[in-house]
Amino acid sequence: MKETFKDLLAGCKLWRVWSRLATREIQLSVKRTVLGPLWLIIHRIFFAIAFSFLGAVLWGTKPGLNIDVLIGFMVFSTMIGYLQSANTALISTVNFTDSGLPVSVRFLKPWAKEFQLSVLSGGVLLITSIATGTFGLTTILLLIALTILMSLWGLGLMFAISPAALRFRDVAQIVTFASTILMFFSPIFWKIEDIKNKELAQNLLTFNPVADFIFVFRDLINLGTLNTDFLVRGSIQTLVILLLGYISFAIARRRIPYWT
Amino acid sequence: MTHINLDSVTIKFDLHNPYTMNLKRAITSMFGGENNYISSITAIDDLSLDLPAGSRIGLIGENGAGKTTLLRVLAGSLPPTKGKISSQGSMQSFIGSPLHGLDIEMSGYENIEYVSLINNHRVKKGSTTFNDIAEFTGLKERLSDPVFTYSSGMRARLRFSILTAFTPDILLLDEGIGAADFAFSAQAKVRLQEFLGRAGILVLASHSPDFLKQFCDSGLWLSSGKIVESGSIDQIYANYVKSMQEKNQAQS
Repeated sequence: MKETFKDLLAGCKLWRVWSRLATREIQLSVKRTVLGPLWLIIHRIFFAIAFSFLGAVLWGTKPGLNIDVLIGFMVFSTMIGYLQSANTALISTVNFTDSGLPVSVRFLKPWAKEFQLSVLSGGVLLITSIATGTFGLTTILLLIALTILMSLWGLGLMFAISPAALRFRDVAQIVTFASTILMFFSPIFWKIEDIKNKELAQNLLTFNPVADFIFVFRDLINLGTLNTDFLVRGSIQTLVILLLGYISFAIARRRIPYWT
Repeated sequence: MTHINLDSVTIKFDLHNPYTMNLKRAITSMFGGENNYISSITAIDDLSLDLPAGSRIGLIGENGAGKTTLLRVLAGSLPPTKGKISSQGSMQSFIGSPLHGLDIEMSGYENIEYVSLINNHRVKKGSTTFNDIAEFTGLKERLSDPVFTYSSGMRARLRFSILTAFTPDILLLDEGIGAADFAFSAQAKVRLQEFLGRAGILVLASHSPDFLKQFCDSGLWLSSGKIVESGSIDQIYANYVKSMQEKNQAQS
């Protein structure tokens, strides 16, 4: 555990390296495009529009971009981004093996990329708060705090899942289809009030790790308030995932170079 | 004080059938089912080594002797399966080259900052180190152009100039660092000598006797992950060559 902590600390000290590498990866993914990193947000917005129309077809709501759907999809895609990144973190950083960098950097660099993308999503949500009339210093600060909380959730997930996904590629396959299923089980384009079997919907939401964050962000952007119930559940979830991630990293750290 | 110490270090790689290395096998093997383990390779076998400051050691051996694996252990990239390793001092290792490579979309100037950063050195544009690197490349105004417009020789010059600009306490080199085209090599040789000379500890793996004898004073002959012999580089290399010749004669 002591060596694990040292590795983490050494990795954190190299934040300039992995944050720069993460930025570079984002830049390369949109190189030679006119809109650049905006493409990363545009496709999420178009998905939100598509889901809004789906919601309009299913529940008879007004067609057009639904703010709740936009918020839900932004939060969901950020969290799933962390999940998908966790799936491939150690595989995508295989060239770090002989670099002499701490093992934790192989987790921190993909995490940094998703964090930077989440900041872009946060920018979209901030602009949305102008439309809902909740824009202000409180909203900005709370948005920053919630984005950081979500990123810590993603960090724990990174450490928890990546070693397993490296060792057994089945895990990567399971995570991929699980994240697709999670999209339909998350309250993005549907609300509990619209569902006939409310008890089942409530159970789904109880065990859905993404739901709490969606509700917290929706309340913040729509009402300018912080839903403490969902926040507490989301925070507990984050702490548990961070702890599991640390334990997973401690167990797998020495074996990772052999599995690569 | 710069030093590296290896105490009874063993590196063992387990070989698994990659086509059956899956979750199902992992679970069924726990209950007595077939697992996909094939065999294991002991790349380093109970090796102890103490390198104080000032060590200039050359690793000699056939392909598969364990030279690169030993370098990876010294670099901290490969934790030992058994045994302990302790080291003190800043480390720079050139084992393989993926992360020391250039970003071809960036300009030469940007690569100086970028590659330096990856090697844990902050080199800001306009600083003395930055200017020294830029000047040594000899690329002048081409440094403003993206690297994908460079020839292979120009890329090698740029990479070499950046990587030899720093002073690590411990330097690990696998099969050399490479220099550029013929016209550059005289300057590169002097710079390489200075670079290798500045290191507190140098461990160099190479098949080139000239390279080994020029920069190392002691040698370590490895075979099948074990130390066969250690001593002065001239003596060790001579013994190694003699052994290889005897082996070739015996085979023929």
